[in-house]
Amino acid sequence: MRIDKVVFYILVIGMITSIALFVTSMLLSSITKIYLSAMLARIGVEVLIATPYITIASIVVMSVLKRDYRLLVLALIVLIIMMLSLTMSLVLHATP
Amino acid sequence: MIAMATGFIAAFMGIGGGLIIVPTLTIVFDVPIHEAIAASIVGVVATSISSASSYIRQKMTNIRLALFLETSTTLGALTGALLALITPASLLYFMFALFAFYVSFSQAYSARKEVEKLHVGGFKRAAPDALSRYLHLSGRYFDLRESKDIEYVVRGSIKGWLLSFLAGMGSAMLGIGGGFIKVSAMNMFMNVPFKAAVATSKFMIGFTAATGAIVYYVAGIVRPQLVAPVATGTISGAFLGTLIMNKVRVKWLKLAFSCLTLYIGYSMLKKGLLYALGVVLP
Repeated sequence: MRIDKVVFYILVIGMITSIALFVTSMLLSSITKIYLSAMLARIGVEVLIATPYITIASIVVMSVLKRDYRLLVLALIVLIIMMLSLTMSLVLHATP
Repeated sequence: MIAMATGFIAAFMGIGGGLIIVPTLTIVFDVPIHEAIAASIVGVVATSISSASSYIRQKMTNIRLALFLETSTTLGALTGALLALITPASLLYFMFALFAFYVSFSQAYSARKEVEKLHVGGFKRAAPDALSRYLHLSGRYFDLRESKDIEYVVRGSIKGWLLSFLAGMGSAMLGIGGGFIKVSAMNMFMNVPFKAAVATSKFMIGFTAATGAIVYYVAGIVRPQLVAPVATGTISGAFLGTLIMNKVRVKWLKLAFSCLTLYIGYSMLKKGLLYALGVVLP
């Protein structure tokens, strides 16, 4: 399978899942199911934030499978910096 | 409705949209600034996912170029986050304002030239630099307005990489400004057609914004019930934007981008003057 197709499917799944969760959450909040509504919105946020991480990880895997080592290096650098940034914020407790 | 309009503009111009979402939430809805920035950055991830998926389906996004530039953007964001702890951001506001004014002028000036360049196949006549050739950064897309395949050769890789570093640094230090620099870097310095630059920038923004968003989420500043309407609006607006962008004449897109960067330049100058000299502009 082509890399752009894999990326496309991951993005679409991330988008549809999060929007479904957000819409359900907003509907529930209007009929006073506050706890459930908040939980669904939180999962929606988590899905949204996780989608780019899953996308870049999938590009790493796909470039290994395709033996495209130049793309692999680029994707790995991006993934490492993204993880480094997260680790530093967790360790330093620095909030932008 | 405002989030939807923001998503639409962001997808159209290749920007994140934080510039519109943050003031709307703070001024119109009286949300505290930190919560507004956190909600905005998650909303930016949402516009990116929505528009990037559509642009990838339309084969407009150059994934290799996006990842090449993203190495410097994320590195710039990391550097910016550390610098923000020790350096005042006012100097960066002035730098960004100057660059935005230059971009605004240059995009308006080159609007007609790009149309001619598309017609005569000028984007594929450039010579690639060594890095671009080694990483196979050049690409192509189908322009619906021109009804033809546009091939382009990427050059000026180092210059583009350095500008993207600045974009990442700006996003981390000022919270805004990443998108317009990426689009300009690709279009003005790397020989990438405007529409391909917008699509590629939208794909990149997701990674940068997610890196910032996860930090806010871990810190507990993201309010999911505030994000829900923002993200729903930006996702749907961005999707609509991507359906139209490729059908619009590039001249009008560039002129709209010129107006947007003029506004960005003014708001950066305003903040810079306020923080550095205490001068309040209207």
